[in-house]
Amino acid sequence: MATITAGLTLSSEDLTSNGLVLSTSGNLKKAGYKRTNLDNTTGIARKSTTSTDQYTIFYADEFTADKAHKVYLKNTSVVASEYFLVTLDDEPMGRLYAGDFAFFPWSATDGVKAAFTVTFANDWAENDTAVFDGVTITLGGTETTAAMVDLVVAAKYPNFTVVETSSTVATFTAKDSNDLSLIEEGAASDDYVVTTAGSGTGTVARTVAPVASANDIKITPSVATTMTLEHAVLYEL
Amino acid sequence: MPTTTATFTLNTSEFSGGGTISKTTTLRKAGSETGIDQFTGVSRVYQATIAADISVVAASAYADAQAGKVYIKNTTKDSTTAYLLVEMASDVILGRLYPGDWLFIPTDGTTDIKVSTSAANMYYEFGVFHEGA
Repeated sequence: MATITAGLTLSSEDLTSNGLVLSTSGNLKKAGYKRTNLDNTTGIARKSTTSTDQYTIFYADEFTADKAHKVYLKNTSVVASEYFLVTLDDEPMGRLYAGDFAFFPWSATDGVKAAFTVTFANDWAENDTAVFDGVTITLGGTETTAAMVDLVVAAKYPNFTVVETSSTVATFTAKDSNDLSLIEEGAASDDYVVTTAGSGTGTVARTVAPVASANDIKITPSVATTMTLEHAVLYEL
Repeated sequence: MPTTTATFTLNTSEFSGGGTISKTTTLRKAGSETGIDQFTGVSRVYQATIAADISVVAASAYADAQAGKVYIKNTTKDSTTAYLLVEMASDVILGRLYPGDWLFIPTDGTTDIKVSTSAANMYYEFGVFHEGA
């Protein structure tokens, strides 16, 4: 099991009358009773920014919630006035000025990903289509509802995963809890569009309403000129 | 003006391509080369019972738009699972500090920082470097 050691030393000869020397170091361990070592890392990476827009550095959805993850951030700027405002979603943590670093635990609390079902029924004819998320399924011949579900499940959607719930039902789940768009329900959904020359129907029903993650780690640069943030997550699955 | 430095080391040498990084920064006031000159000292706390929302940084005590820094460590020794839950503002969860874990984060004087203990008989310590009210 890999060992990761993180240390912090705070020192000053003149901040207080008796000086300050504080040093701590330890292995980074997983949550729970066994406290085995953390064994995953994103590696140390860099993100350059060129506007004062808000940038998302780490998405909570991509990590398991309520573990012992650790986040490292550093502003590599050498201009004293340049800072990154670090926020937990939209809640300000603080400003990382030039040369400053931060190291902190992260719960990566997920949001709730939207989900809906499509129930297919009746007969599907050649050239019938089902269009969703930029993906168009076009039938090459007459198909059963079960075959239609198979085709839908086999498709690759950019923003949704899809599984077969039954021989007539496919369940779609958003990949990102921050996708708050609600899919229109019913047999004539403007979001999941079925066009059929036969009697086929695809009826949409929302099953899970989305809730945005409030735990994404974001930065907002203080200037529009190029700034660079160094970052890493040490995490567990 | 005082000079206070913070040095962070991270050793990941057991990972392929890993190694040791060491970063040292001088704690300075917002947007300037002037060193931070105020410090709460390190408070050590024994919390006998489970408690929620213990204030570490009360934003109202500091001016806004600062370059403050917060240090918190869970110093509990006789447990492997007793964690400090660190929260910002109104229950926005940052993360869990398990025994031996620590954090060092910026604070700009606009957001309260609180901790909650997950078990009885926990110890922790914290300090705030700041620019005043």
